[in-house]
Amino acid sequence: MSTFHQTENPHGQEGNVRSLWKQSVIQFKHNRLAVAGLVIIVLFIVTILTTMAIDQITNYSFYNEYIIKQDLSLRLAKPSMAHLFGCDEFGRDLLLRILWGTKLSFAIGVVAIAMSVVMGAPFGMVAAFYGGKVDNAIMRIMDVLLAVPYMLLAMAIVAALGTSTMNLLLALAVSGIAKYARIARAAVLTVKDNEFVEAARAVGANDFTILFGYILPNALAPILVQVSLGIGDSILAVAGLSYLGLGVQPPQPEWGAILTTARTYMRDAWHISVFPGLFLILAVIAFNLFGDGLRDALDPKLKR
Amino acid sequence: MSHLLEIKDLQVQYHTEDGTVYALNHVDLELDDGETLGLVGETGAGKTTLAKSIMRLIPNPPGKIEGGVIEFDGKNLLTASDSEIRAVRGNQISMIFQDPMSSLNPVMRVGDQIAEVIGVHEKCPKEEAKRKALEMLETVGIPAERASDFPHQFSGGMKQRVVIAIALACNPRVLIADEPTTALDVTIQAQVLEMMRRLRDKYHTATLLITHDLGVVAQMCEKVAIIYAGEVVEFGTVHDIYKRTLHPYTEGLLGAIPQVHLNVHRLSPIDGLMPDPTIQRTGCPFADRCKYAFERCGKEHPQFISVGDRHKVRCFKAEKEAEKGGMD
Repeated sequence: MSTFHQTENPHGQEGNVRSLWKQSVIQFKHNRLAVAGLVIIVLFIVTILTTMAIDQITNYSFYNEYIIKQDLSLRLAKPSMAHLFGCDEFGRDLLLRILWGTKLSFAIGVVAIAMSVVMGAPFGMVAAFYGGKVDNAIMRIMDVLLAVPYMLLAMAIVAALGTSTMNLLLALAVSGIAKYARIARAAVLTVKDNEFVEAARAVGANDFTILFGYILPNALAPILVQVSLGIGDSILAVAGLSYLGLGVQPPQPEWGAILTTARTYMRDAWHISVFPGLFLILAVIAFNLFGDGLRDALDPKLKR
Repeated sequence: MSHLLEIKDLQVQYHTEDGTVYALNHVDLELDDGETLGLVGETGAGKTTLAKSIMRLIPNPPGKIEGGVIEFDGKNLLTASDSEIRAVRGNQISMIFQDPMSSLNPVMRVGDQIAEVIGVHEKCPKEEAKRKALEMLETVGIPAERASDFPHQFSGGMKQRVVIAIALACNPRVLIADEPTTALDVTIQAQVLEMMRRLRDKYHTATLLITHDLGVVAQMCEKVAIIYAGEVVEFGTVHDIYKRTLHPYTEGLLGAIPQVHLNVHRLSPIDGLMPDPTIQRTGCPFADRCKYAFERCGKEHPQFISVGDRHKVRCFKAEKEAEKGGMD
């Protein structure tokens, strides 16, 4: 929307003249744990990009050779210098499988949340904006969705549609709709009674402009925080569903799927369950720390 | 003769869980082209409700316009469709809100906010709207290069200037200013009022100035309406109201202004409080606080009668005096 360039402020008030976002970035930088979370997330993203690049460059020959191809001579090999995390029950290098699995675990987790927000938030926004009967009608439907536990709903959807990565994504996205509708509704409710909303109406703006031009940008902060916290849950859910056999199918490497097979060999090969588990924990903690930091940075009441 | 804006018999009620609040009862008011009308009354008298009724901004529920007519340029705004009223808002009738701190969108550059109003009403390309926005900003005394700043980078007085720029961007015929200077300190108040007066003369905009400051009214307005408990109790020119005061409430308001040249120990406030707006009364709503009240005041509701050229009052005492002494 911005058609103006940010110019240097000529009136010599530079000291306290900072945009809201700049101030939040400074606030965020002071929170070391949150920065650590962000660094871990960035490292994961770099991993994903690297593995994808290797797949593209080698035209999947690397993937077929090292991620999928079985070598029974290395079956359940313990961690060594050649194979840092050891090998799985088919003699495949565990470290490589975990690294390649990052793409699936992350991508599904993030995309599912994004889809939940895109599908759910407009319902909540409309409900809060119009209130009354509209609010009641939409939110009661959301309550019905909320009444079914998140995992159970996702499982039911996958069970009905059949197991595939696409259906897993869809199941997770649909199960999250109600949650983000509620969050968006709460955020809009706090913003919509502001005078600038009334002022926008007084200059003749229509409902669409008011909702998306005035209310949404001001209600974005709490929604963003919940999204970043939700990604952790979502990654866990992907792993959980894959663990139950409803998600990513073998031989694709996915953390939850690796954990499933690891269970059988837990007594003989501890490394197969420990390392993917650690990565899972790391990813979830990273997103939670990041989300916490984001919340503190965007909440003006916590400004120091 | 027809007026630019004419309010007839307007009734607004808020239906809450604690009962019905009678916010405006049979309000009559008129505003002519280029004229400035001061609307004066104490907190809770219904000033803001009246302003919002004209803009059709009464939140419903709980508020509801129960009856009456608001005629703008010969057209009843109360029966206009949503898209018709949107075309009027900001374009024909603009509103300035009380608190400039909260009436600007905090995440939008001020230049964009002004350009948006122009974009909504005048079907012109973005560049054109942007250029007009910068022009408008200069008009209210803000350098154009600050168009790319955010509202929190401005002081209170500067923000109110931006709000005024937004209100006047489409050159409206009526400007409703709801206590535009209440949230500002006194020196800034004077600056903003001076600027409003200058712009009003320049654009020839009719203004409805809502305030509880009779000093501001004397400076800015040609006509005054005194509102009490949801009723206009006295209406007239500034001269009528200040020099030929008829309603005891107006008299009380004027008595409560500090006079610099008189050596008085204490100001004389009006005793008592405004009546409970949830109760519909048969008598005059001011009767309990009125030092002239007689028997009839508590029993009957006074009519809004003309006592001069355009001087109107709603009071039995004034009615009696007018009958006795004839009109002056």
